[in-house]
Amino acid sequence: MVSTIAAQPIQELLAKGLVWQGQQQLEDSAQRYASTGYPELDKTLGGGWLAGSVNELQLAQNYSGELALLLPLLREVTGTVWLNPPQEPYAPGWHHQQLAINQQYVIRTETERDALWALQQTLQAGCMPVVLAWFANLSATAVRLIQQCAQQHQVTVFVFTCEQSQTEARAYTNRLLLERSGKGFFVQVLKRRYGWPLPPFPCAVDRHLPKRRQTKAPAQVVHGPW
Amino acid sequence: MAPGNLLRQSNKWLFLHAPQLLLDFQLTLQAPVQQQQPQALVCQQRQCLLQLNSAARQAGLHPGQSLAVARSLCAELEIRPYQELQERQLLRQLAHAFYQDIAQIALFPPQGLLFEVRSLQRLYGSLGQLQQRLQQRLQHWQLTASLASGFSPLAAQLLAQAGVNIVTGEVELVTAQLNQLPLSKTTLAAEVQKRLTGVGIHHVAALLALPASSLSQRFGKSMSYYLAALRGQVQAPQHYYRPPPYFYQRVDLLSETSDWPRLVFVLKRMLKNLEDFLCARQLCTRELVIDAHHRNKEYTRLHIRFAHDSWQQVDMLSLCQLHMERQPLQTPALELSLKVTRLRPLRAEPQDMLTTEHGRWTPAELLSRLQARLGETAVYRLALTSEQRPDRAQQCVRASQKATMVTVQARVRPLWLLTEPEPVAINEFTRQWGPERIDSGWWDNHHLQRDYYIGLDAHARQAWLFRDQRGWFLHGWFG
Repeated sequence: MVSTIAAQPIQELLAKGLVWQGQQQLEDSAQRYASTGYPELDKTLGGGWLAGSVNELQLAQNYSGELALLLPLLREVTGTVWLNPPQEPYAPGWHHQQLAINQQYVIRTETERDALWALQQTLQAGCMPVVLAWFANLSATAVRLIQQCAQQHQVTVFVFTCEQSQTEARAYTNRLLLERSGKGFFVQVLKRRYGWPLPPFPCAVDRHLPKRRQTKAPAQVVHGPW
Repeated sequence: MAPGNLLRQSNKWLFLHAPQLLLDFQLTLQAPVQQQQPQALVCQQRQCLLQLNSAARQAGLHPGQSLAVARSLCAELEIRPYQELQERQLLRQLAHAFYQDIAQIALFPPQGLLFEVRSLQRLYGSLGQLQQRLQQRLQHWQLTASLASGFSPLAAQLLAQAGVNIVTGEVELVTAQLNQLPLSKTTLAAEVQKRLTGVGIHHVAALLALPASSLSQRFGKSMSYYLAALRGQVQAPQHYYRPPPYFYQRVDLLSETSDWPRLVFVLKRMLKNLEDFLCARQLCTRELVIDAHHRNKEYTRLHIRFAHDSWQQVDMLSLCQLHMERQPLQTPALELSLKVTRLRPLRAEPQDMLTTEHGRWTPAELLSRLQARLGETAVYRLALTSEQRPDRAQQCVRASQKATMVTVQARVRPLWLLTEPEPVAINEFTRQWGPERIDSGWWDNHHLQRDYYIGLDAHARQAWLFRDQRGWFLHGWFG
């Protein structure tokens, strides 16, 4: 018996369902996922953004496409809170991206303590399905608290931080590193549920942004003044 | 008084006399331990006791006693000056509370209320039921008061002020009680009382037994008028209480305090009164003004705005507490006042009910809470305007405001806008798209002529750039 199994190629075993795969396990669980709008990302995250999860988005640079990544989700939900965004969000831009302008709420706080308080209140209210929060750094305790609160009230939270050098564990559901280079927008999965970290893979966020000109190599482009 | 005269009448008046209105109210604001302390309100001019709590009475004190005697009898007596103005204000509040049950209320400041009850007979059926209702209210206010019926306002007033508790429809019972009253319990001038005693009249009975004409001959016209009023033969017009179209309450804190937790205790009660006020009129509000009055006649104002219609005490209190945490009181306060002038009709908003199904709060409630602690400018939404100029194409909408909807053509615009355009060296950017010329505002002083481009920076991020006479600027980011 043992020998027959061993003799079969691994693909056949997979087809018969004799090999347990973490990835598949979460597909059929009862948890609610909202599609990210990017098939490649949905696959790696087990179906999309998990409702009631806290996701860390580490940014190599601000404004590199992190909002474009979330645009498909933001278009679907009613009620988004923008907590301490790094610049003023621009309503005509939302309009251009077909976001419901009157469903976007901006909160600005002076201290991180107030920001955490406001975040907690927003989660407890349960009336805002998505919260976008910008933090310089969050302690392990704060993340755990946010995670518990978000899970209880089924609010999806995105925490934007800069690239973290330390690898100390945090209670985030997903930790992604977003980076843009001349070749495009890349997502690196640092932590995810039921899966290993993944090396950077391209994500087609640019289709939500103004069209880019196809350039052969950036070095050959004639620089301004135009 | 001729009995035949009275039989045709009925007891259409009820008088409520609260001899310790101010003190009773102050006691309700105190902690139970403090209530056990002997306390008294004193008249500052005559230096005598006016109102006493039960502990002070047990110590052997009584109203009218001089302050020196009271102090020697009871050393730990807590003394506060009596303030008639406050008591008058309190009487108005009391009238307002009774206005729920009785339509015609006349104020007899500082401690009396006159109710016209005949018109209520059909509503309540019997006086007993009305009395029960009134007693409930008195208990709620924790007031000691006497209620007396009367066939004339003056008769009811005299009985109630004499401390007689008699609620009845029988005119004879009232007459009997009235006859027993000594002259000192009437409101006749002291000099008149003295002259009456001089001729051997000591009780109201004796006064009423005399023919009116001879009395007026001897004591003047005012005497005959007084008796006619007592008998109910003349009906002086009454100024009935009409509730004000706003809410105002001012409370003495009894001792100076600067910490909010102690003030919250008082505020809680005031907000409860406000809730009753709003609930009775089916109104709600989005604005409270709380003033903490200091010793030097100055005050600290706390302006609390909500993003949602509010009328419940619990709701308003939690928001007030958040405000208080944010703004500590610099100087101790002596009095606290609560004012609500902007009232709006209470109506259920179907839209809000849908949203509460999902969570515990509506967005407006959440915004109120956030605003309360973070400040009013900290929470906002953005709205489009019909402006061409990028800086003015959006405006902040405070949580309590309603956003006006403008239909604007969707143009290519970034998701981020820099509040101040940032001068840049253009050779660090690669051009992607453009130009879009924006030439607008020549009619006011902010004329703007710019060519907008989309360019890539060194990190391949899409930037919103413009060029004007001054050079190149970064104005926003896509992505």
